[in-house]
Amino acid sequence: MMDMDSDPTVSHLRRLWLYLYCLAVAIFLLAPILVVIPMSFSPSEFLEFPPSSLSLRWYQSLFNSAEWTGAAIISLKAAVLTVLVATPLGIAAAYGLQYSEMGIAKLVRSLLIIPLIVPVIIVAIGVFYLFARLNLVNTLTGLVLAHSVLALPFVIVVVSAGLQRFDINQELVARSLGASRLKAFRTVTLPQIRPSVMSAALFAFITSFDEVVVALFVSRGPSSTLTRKMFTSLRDQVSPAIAAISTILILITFLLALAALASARGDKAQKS
Amino acid sequence: MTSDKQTGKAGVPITIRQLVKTYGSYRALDALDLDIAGGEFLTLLGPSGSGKSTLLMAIAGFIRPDSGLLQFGATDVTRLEPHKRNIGVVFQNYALFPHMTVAQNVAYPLKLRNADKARIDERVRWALALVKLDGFGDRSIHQLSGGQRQRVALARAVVFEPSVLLMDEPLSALDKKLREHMQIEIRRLHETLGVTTIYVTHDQREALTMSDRIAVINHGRFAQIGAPKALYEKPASRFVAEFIGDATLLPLDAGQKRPTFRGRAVKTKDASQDNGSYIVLRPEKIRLVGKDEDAGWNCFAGTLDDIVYQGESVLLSVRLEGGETLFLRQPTDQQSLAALPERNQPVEVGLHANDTLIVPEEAA
Repeated sequence: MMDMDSDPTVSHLRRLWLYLYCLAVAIFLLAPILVVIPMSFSPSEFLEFPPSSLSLRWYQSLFNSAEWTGAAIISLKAAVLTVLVATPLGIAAAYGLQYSEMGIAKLVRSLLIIPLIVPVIIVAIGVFYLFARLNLVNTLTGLVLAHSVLALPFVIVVVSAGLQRFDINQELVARSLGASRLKAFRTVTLPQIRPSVMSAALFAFITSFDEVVVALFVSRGPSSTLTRKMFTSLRDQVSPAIAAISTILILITFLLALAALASARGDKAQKS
Repeated sequence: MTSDKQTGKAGVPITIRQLVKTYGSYRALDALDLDIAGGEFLTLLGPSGSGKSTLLMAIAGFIRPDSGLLQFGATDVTRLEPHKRNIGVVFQNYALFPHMTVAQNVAYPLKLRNADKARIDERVRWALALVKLDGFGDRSIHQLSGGQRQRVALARAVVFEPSVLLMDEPLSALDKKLREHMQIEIRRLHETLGVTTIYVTHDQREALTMSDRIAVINHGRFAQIGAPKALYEKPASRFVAEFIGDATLLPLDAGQKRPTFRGRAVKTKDASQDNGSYIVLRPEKIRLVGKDEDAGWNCFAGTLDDIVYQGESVLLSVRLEGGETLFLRQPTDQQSLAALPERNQPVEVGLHANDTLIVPEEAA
């Protein structure tokens, strides 16, 4: 593989403008996110930037608040369960769609991708009326089901991309060598699409964890998710507690992305 | 491995009866009958889309036939899942598992059969030695050349003593030298193991080199089944004569009792071929002759069109008076080269009565 950095024909100096441009883009994208981090360490009652002094006051109050920790636990539960529901379903769907010889497969794929295209608010309204009839409003089950619908397209797209690089003849060989279909999938196909499956699971987690619109409709009161609680508390008051939560969420997302990257790296290293 | 399955040197005979597979209105397998002897090396030879791979996949169990019967020995396997058939399959692209080492690839079928570790180690070493890859066990697949990958695929397909070995154009990705070398290796492997082998190829020379018998397949039907020599020397139809080896086919005059070409009687060894409609002219069976040199020759007058030097032989093209082009192969020893006529000279092409072959449009 050609490494762009080691290309000797263009010097770093001549590419300086490119570096500066990238830096500008990075600042533009990251600054609004990063600005909440110093704000969260403020001792003041209100959001201020830069903070007058540093304090862990808001972190303390967060961890001592049963409301906030409860919401965090709901969010984590919903995200983990969404991963457990959406990932296997999405893998199965991607696999089926990839190797189906039926003409209807294309249509089915489009249908499954729809939640990605339709405005979330419309999904939320539909889900709310459906769940009201099924008595699923304000339940964890309902929240997980709704989030799984939103996460499924991501899983399908990512796993399909992984399957495209996989040679299905390997699975045929495995079956001829004595493996049942399921065993062949587990021992030959799955290990090779593992990086895609990992990022698909990560997408599913983040889809659920960051989701607020559907949560506004179907999780209320004690079953509120973290994002929903943030949203509603922002309406009443803008306290640095929000900045503290945001900082924690940024940290979690950052660590997850890092983990995904490391897993992809490890896989590449193993292959070469 | 269950006891009702025959294993070991004898190899399992395969019986195919009235096997049909259709895709819509297209008959990929059109009521095929075939008996393969235990331990036989049979090649399915045909152009692309002829149904040869479909038949192989049906024998492997990846394609479910619409009707018909498929037996390994006395066992009906027509509807049996692939993983219960005890078959080894080698694909064109090898289909090795890249996330496993060479040894893990070869051990895979043994692990599925719950062999113990000592037995696995012993069999893997045996199989790698068989394909001359001793000591390659710890290599990753990415470190192997095309030929080595092919050998690993072979070792993996035979390590568990399958009843049947199936190969789908396994050498087509290799270059010519390596391919010819591997043909001999696979033949040797077959002789060592005695496993019933079905080999798919579109390369007629490969089929002639390797097979005990060749089944020529076209449009989902067998055009002819026979030993390589029988197929080459006694093709049953125009298709087989043209597909195996190089040949120019000249149409005989219609409506004659005895075969004639442009009014002249065609001399043959015996009367057995009298009902054919084409005379087969192969480049190595014909040569330049003097005018009606001998009563035993069928002669065709024409003009020498071109002379192509190919190293081990010279290929001459001769345009007949009727416009057809014949090809002749001549040796490249000095005497033969010196005797070659000039281009655009009139020449006589002779085919001896003993080599004269007449084929029908369709097999009887």
